[in-house]
Amino acid sequence: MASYADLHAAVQADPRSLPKIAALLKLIRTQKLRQSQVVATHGKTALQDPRRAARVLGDDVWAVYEQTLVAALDVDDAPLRDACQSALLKRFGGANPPSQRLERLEGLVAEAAGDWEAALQRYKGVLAQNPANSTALKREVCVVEAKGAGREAVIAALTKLTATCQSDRGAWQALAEAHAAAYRFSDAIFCYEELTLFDPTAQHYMRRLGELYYSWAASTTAKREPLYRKARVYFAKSLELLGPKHNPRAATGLLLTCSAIKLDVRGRKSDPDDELNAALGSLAASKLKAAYANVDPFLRECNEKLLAAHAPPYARLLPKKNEETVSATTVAVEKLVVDDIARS
Amino acid sequence: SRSTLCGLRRPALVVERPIAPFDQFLLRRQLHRRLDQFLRRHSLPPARLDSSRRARQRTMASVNELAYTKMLLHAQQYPHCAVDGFCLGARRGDGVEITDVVPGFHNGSLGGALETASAHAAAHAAAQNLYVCGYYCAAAHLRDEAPPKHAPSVAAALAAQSGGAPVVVLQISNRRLADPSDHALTCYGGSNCDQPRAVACAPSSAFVEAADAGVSVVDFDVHFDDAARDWRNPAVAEFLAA
Repeated sequence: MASYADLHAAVQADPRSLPKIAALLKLIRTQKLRQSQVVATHGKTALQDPRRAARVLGDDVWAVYEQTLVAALDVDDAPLRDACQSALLKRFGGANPPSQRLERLEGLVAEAAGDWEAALQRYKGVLAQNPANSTALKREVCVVEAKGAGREAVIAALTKLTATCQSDRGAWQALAEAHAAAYRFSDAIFCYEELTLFDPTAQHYMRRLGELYYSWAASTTAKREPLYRKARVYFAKSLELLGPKHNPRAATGLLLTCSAIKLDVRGRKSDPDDELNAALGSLAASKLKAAYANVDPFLRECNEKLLAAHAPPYARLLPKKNEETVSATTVAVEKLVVDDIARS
Repeated sequence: SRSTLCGLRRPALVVERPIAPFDQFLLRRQLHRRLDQFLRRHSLPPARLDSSRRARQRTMASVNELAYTKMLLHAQQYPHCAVDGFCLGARRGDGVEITDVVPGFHNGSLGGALETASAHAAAHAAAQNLYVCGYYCAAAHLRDEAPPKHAPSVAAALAAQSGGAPVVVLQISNRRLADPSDHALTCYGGSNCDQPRAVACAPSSAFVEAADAGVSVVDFDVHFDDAARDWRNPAVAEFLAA
């Protein structure tokens, strides 16, 4: 399965070849990448001669028209948008009841022009035909966001959407990111837990849960330790699900969490968790070293500095204290302890 | 006699009296205007009075073309996301001179990723005798002009990391991106990095040309998924040099 970079390079080498453009556009369609400039330029070349396009692309040509229309809206290319829209209307328009897919595209065109009322009318029409049409429901949420109503309105709309379409992963993820952007970590964690219910073997949900717990712990002032421990669990799970694949993000997260736990429990009597913490920390460090094994030497050096900062003794991670204050404090504390012992 | 030296035909009475202060003031204004015309005719930069030199010193940040191009290329590559990043530069008086930029995140930076990225950026800055002197951000929504709420705390952390050197927050204004004669940066400075300040930047459309030529920017989000991608982005400097 070729990657996007390879197909893109192939198309750039031969910009007039329709089969190569078709392969690139199909990959973008299936992987739902957002590369609007690329799609607009190459879709324009592909659809310049409609008959040749229909012959080479076959049944895919209408999907390419749809994809190019959306890309033209994104890059604000009015002639391309009009061409695609008229071709689609000629083929699919005029049906009764109107085609739901076409109504969604018409609504998108209205949204791009800033005509929110017309767009909402279209989506209401679609929902009147089919109240469970998730694309129309999603577009309604997008109109709320595009109008600039603010984050709370968007969160309310997304909550309503997830209550209706409970199996829509994109909606849950968007809601989670909106909560995280509003620093409501507990709600974001709830959304990602729903996502893990759908797909327990997805490492990025586990990693994101670890990151959310870590950020939550870092932003609160009390009761950090259980949050850091939960973050450690999720990071470790994401590393386990990754298997042999490298992911510096998950490894860095685990490393930072282990150091944070070590710093949090410092000064107490030795924690029974210490060995596990140290083992997980060294696992994270080894995964990071392996991930950076074959990269540019400067990047590897940056990684080494990070690993050195997080290796024991963790005193290097503490904020720098004034040496005199520290020694004076320790002397005072010792005196107090000695007095206490003498008195008792 | 004096009247013939001036080349003007004046009544003898006017030549004898000393120049009144009002006339002196007029003469200086006329002199500056004539000086400006002379310089403009010979395509030299205009001379400026003292007060504008003071205004230039009050500029908190000055951004060069490479940094501006990288920032806007990053913002253009992810037009639907809120992008972040760090500015590297040198101290210049009370302000900063930004010469390079390290793109940060487009998926929201959580879980200690921002701290790790700032550590890497600081290492890169130290290698070039610069320091991490700023944090740039762009809002996801077209009409959102306010800097993100976490920007002052990030700037405070950067200031602590750099040992008290001045740190700015640069906000890319989506509205001003449409105007090719204006750069799209707003600078926030001061102790909490929430007071607007002046920023000196040449408006350049190099980032549009770079995007059309296919130059893409690697940020920390991409780097942390694949360690082989280089977030120092030498390709942008190469494109600008070419």
